[in-house]
Order: sequence, then structure tokens, then C-alpha cells
Amino acid sequence: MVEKSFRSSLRSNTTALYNVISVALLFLLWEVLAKVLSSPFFPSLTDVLSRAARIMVNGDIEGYSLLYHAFASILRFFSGFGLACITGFPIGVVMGLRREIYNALKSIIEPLRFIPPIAWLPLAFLLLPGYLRYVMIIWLGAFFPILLSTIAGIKRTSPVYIDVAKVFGADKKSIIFKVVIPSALPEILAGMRIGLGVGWMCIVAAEMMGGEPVGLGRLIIKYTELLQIDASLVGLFSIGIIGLLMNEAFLQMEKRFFKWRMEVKI
Amino acid sequence: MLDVKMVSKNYGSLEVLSKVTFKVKRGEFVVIVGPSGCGKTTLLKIIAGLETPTTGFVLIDGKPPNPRHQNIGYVFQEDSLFPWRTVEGNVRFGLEVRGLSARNIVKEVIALVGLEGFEDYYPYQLSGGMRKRVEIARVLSVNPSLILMDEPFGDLDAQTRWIMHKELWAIHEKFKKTTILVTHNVEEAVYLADKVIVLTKRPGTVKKVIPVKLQKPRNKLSRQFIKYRGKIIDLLREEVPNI
Repeated sequence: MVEKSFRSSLRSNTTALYNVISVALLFLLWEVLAKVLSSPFFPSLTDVLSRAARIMVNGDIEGYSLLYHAFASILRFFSGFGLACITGFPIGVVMGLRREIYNALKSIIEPLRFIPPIAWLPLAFLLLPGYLRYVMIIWLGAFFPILLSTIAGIKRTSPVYIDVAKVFGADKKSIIFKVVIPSALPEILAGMRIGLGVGWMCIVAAEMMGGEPVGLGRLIIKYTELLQIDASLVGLFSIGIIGLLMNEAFLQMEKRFFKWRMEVKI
Repeated sequence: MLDVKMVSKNYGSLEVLSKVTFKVKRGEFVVIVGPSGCGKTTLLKIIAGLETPTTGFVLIDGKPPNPRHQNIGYVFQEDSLFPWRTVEGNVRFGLEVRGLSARNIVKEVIALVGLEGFEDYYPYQLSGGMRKRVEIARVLSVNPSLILMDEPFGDLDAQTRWIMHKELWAIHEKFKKTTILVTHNVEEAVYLADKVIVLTKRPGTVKKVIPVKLQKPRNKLSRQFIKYRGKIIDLLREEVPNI
């Protein structure tokens, strides 16, 4: 939970300045190196940017624009991630409250969780049609972090909070909804943020292997096969930027949500 | 009002309390002192109905303790405010759980403990003394017939503790709520108590009940006050020789 948000680490002016300088230097170095080497396998930054603009406006070789690729990836991602949240959260709450259920299912959950989602890809492609394949892979990647952090958060509820509720005569339902879940929420959301990262990695890998013509992962493969490195870099950077933005958005939401945890800087 | 009869508690082979018996009258302020680990907290939890005695029983107005049916307030030793709720949200909790919504009561008890203007603060923004005040307000909000306090001021500095003693006295003076307070602090005991119950070391049992017959509010520096203090410290010294 000590991970600092990208923006807050940029807040101080000097760090912001250093970062601007380092990025500018990298770009400059890249540009110079590309010009010196002048190899088709080492495109310059300007090549990549102009290529990005062209894919944005005219589409790729099959006519799909960059935004369409991004949209396809994001849609698949949020379907799988959303499914992981609405399954992982309630199952985690139940297992956190009833340890014996988790214990009874431990030998199913634990090995499953160590199978990398990518390993399921061939099976997913065999069993499911188009869109659902991706949803399944992302779900697998995001589900376990959410499930496990929910269980941990629920179990870590301070017993004194529960005693407070009990002395006021709270019934089981109030204890769960007014005490246990609110106290576990920071941990649950942290798990969701980890799931977000894992899911986003999975979608790209899945798209690279999947048969669909759209998706940022597909875009990279498409152009790498044509040895057009500048265009595959367009896909690569889009993935990085979208991933960063989603994580930032999530962090900002956590911050707003957990004003009461300001003493622990998220 | 409260009747504790032959209450014993064992955790496995460890005997924590042994045949504790005492009575508390309505409106009385009783302070329990005793050496560390003598089962004071366990005793309070048994009175609140959070734990059951191994043998013996507790009666509150003739009925066994049950938080669902009785109106008990409990100030815990640990920081027990919900960190995700504001001052107002914390104070409202007890009413909310009981399905009552009484905005003015919440306002009233917050004012009573002197925290007007802090309604929207979160616990982490408050000092230790303020947090304890919120806990007291949270307990008062449900108008309990019995208040139990487990070393409520243990974590506070000496100065804040003195202030809290005075405030607690004033609250008791105003509402005359039956109160049982557990403490290590003998001065606190003599300042607040109508009677002090001294427990023995583990397994805890009632060693002596000392009625404190001094006019309130008490002067902590008066000769009689110091005499009472000495008497209780002597009793404790018999239990723990090296204090």
C-alpha cells in the first residue's frame, strides 16, 4: 500500500522537472540514435508518432483504426475485470467470514491460482467463441488477487470493532455490512488494483495469440510479422499509456474513497 | 441494578477469575482496580454479555446480560472508533444499528463532550483525548442504563487524563448513569468512585470494597484523598509486592 501515485510523486516541482528532463533526454537520444543507425529495425520517435497518426486516421493494413484497436482491448478487459470483481468480492467475503469454506476448497484454489492465466489460452480458444475467450483469460488473471485480498481484508477486521457493534446490539447483517466490509474495503480495492494490472497484461498476451483482427496485442503482432517496427511500437506504447491511465484513475478513486486513510498515503 | 455472583472464568486450565461477587446500585460509580492480568477486562466483558462465565452468573435488573435486549454502553481499552466514519458517523452508529435516527441526539451528545465543529472530522485527525470523547459520546447516544469503561484513559498523557476525569465526573453528575470503570490508576479510582473494588492477582477475586466517602468533585491534593489513595495502594502492594 505504499505505492505512490504517479501524479503525487510528480507533485513536487523538482521531481517534475527531473522527469521532464529525463524523458526529453531519452527522446533526444532515441531520435539521434535512430538517425545515426538509419535502420528499418530502429525507427525514430518521429517515425512512430507519424505512424500512430496514420493508423489513427487511416487505420491499419486491414483498415482498423488505432482507436478501434484500443476500444476492443478496453472493452474485453473491462468485461473480464468486471466479472472478476463481481465474483471475487462476494466469494471472498463469504470465505473470509467462514474460514472453513476456504479451508475445504484450499486444495482447489491454491493450485489453480498458480497456473498463469496465459497457460489457459489454448484451452480457452478451443472451448469458447471470440469475445468470451478474452473475458475468461482476464477473469482468471484478476479473480485470484481480488479473492485473496478480500479474504485477507475480511479476516483482518479488528475484533474490537466487532465487539463495539455487538455491545450496541447489532445483528449479523449490520456487523457484516457496517463493520466488516467497510474495514476491509481498502484491502479489497488494493486487490482490485493488482487484478487490474494482471488483467491488462493478460489481455495483450491473449490478443497476440487470439484470432481476432482487432486489439492492441493483435496490432503489435500484425506489424511485427510485416517487420514494420514503428507500427508495432505504436501498439506497445498505447498499451503502456492506457495501463498507466487506468491505474491512475483507480488510485484517484481510492484516494477519494478513503479520505479516512489519509494518514497512510496511498 | 447489577448483581455479580460467584463469577469464575477459565481459559483452558488458566483460571482468570475466581468467584467474583459484588453488587452495584443504580446511579453508582464503581471503579475496579487490580494488578495487571487479574481478569478485569474479562470481568467487564462478562458483565456486558460479550463473554460467558465458566461458573456463576451476572444479573442486570434481574436478567442475564444480553446486548440485544439491554442497553449497555462500553468504552473499550483500545482505540475503537471506526476509522472510516467521521465523528458524527461514529456517534450515530449505535442509533443506526438499532434502527433509530435521531439527528438532534447526535448533535446533543457531540456538544456534551465539547466537540461541536468537529462533526466531519475523521478519527485520525483527532487527538487521543478527543477520540476518547467521541467514544464516550457514542456510548451516551443510546442512553444506556449501564456504562462499562475499560481503562478508558490509559493511553492519554497525565494532563489530558486529569481533564477527562473532571469531564467524566460532570457527565456522571448530570445523568447519574450506573458506571463501572476499570483502571490501573489509583488516583483516577479515588477521584471518580463511589466505591472502589480491589481485586487480587490472578485468579482475580474481590479483595476489598472501599466506599469513598468524599464530596465530589474531589480535590486530588486533599489529605483525605491521599489517605484513600494510600489505603488502596497498600492493598495492591499486598498483591504485587514490588510496586
